[in-house]
Amino acid sequence: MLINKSIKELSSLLMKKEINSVDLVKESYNQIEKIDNKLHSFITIREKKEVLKEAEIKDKERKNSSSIIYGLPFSIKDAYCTENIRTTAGNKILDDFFPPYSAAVFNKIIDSGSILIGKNNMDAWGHGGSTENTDYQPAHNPWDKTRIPGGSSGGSAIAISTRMVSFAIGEDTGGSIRNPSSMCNTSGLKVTYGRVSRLGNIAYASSLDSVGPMAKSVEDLSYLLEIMSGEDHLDSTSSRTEVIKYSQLLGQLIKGKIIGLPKEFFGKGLDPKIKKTILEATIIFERLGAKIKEVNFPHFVYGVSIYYLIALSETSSNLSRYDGVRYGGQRELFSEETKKRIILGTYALSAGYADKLYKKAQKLRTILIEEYENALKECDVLLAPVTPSLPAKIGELINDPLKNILEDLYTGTINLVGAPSLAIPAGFAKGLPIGMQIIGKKFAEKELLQIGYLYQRETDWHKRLPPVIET
Amino acid sequence: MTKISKDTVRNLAKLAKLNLTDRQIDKYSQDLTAVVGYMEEIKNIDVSQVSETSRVTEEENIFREDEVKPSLSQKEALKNSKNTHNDYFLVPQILKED
Repeated sequence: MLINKSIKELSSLLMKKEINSVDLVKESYNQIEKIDNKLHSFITIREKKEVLKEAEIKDKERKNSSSIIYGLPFSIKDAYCTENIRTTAGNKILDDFFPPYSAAVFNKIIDSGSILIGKNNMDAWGHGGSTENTDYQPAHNPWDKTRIPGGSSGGSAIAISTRMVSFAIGEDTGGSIRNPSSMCNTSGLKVTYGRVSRLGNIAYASSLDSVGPMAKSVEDLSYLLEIMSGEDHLDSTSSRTEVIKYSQLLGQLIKGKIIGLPKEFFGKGLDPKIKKTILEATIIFERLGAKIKEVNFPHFVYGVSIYYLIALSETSSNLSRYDGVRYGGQRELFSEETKKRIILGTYALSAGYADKLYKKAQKLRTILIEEYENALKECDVLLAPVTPSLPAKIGELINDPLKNILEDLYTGTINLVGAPSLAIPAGFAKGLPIGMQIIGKKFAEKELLQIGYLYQRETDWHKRLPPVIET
Repeated sequence: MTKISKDTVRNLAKLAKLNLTDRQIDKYSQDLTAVVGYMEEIKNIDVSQVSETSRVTEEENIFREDEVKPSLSQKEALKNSKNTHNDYFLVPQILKED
């Protein structure tokens, strides 16, 4: 299976003409045709003939100077506008929406020569952590089809884990890249807020939304990040901070680095099997020369409440644009979960409650930021679980409103802070993947990737393939 | 504990321009009462000395020259609309005659 190879390996084989993009695209479609009817990782799949023709052109036009991702098949979460390719955000309101322009991140990947296979399934508007809140059939976890793949970028994680694509672009508002990466045994990076342009990303909660890469390994992520990042004059929140050649800085030793274990992240609510897995990872980091230190976040326990009050207030405002006038269908088409989220956000912003709920949450956001900054003065990065539990059975979360939001316990606060966080495979329990996240200071993607890269050199969790793949 | 009553849900739905069925109003009232009940944990934290954070970007006042640049054509801008008239978006009537 070619797509099992890393971006670097594929690029090298393509350059030497030992393989070609047509082979890769054929493999993508074979894999999709074989298993996606059971997993539902795509909402829209491009016409195979058209894509094969595109691959033939790529093969003809490949140059020595072509990008490392030139001619590789990829997919993108359906939360990104793609010119004249249907874009639904997982909801029937946009069932027939063909954007007149493309997202900035999509253009960057396409300009580098990658080949789009299709648009990935997701919880509608990013509203969920299970890819069940979708109007295009709930997605299934390739490691156990009776379970959720995580979300909201669930379709992208499935497509990578089953090698339908080489890599994908996801989006993370409160864990939506990290959560499915953890549940499907793939690697995903939630970038620092502003590191990648949000232009053309369908907004969930604008002060939290982050565009990020999803892939098979940290090494692959580092190549993608240097292509995706950078200032965009059409997104005034995009950062002017210099973009580093992340891929060239991997392999630096982490001797003497201090890895913080935030005590509150390992408390009540965490599955003991996940706790054990992450503590085992600390032994590997120590072997690599890092020091482990316990740190505190007293207000972390309020994280889910603060996150949801802000995210849902913002989403009730963002989704008010769907009035069926300029594009899209009527508001009746919002899903149950989304309607509930709009109602709750409207409540938090309404007269009489805004001070007690929305504004209070914004003040608590300030406190969380200070606590993160303080903890990261004592250490270089933080190590934490991604989700409190193993992938749930389908139907379990979507029918339990409180359990559903508690899934974001470990991820949502990081979006409130705007910090970067790398989710990578750390082990298994009962045959189900367990991920961990490495969280850093703002714009410290380089350190996160270095640490994650060294961990993946020492372990092979990220190389394991789900049983749904016949090898 | 705060109860999100059916009347509250009905009023919020009106503000958010959502038409809900009686079954939905009943269900949302229960679900939101559970979630808001959980969120009340923040009620007693003292934040009197803290200012609000609404953004985490450090960039501010990004200026550019006020130049005319190519944008979407009228055809492209209108192509996703189901109701247009003489190259305009057609909106539902808002003001009603008595």
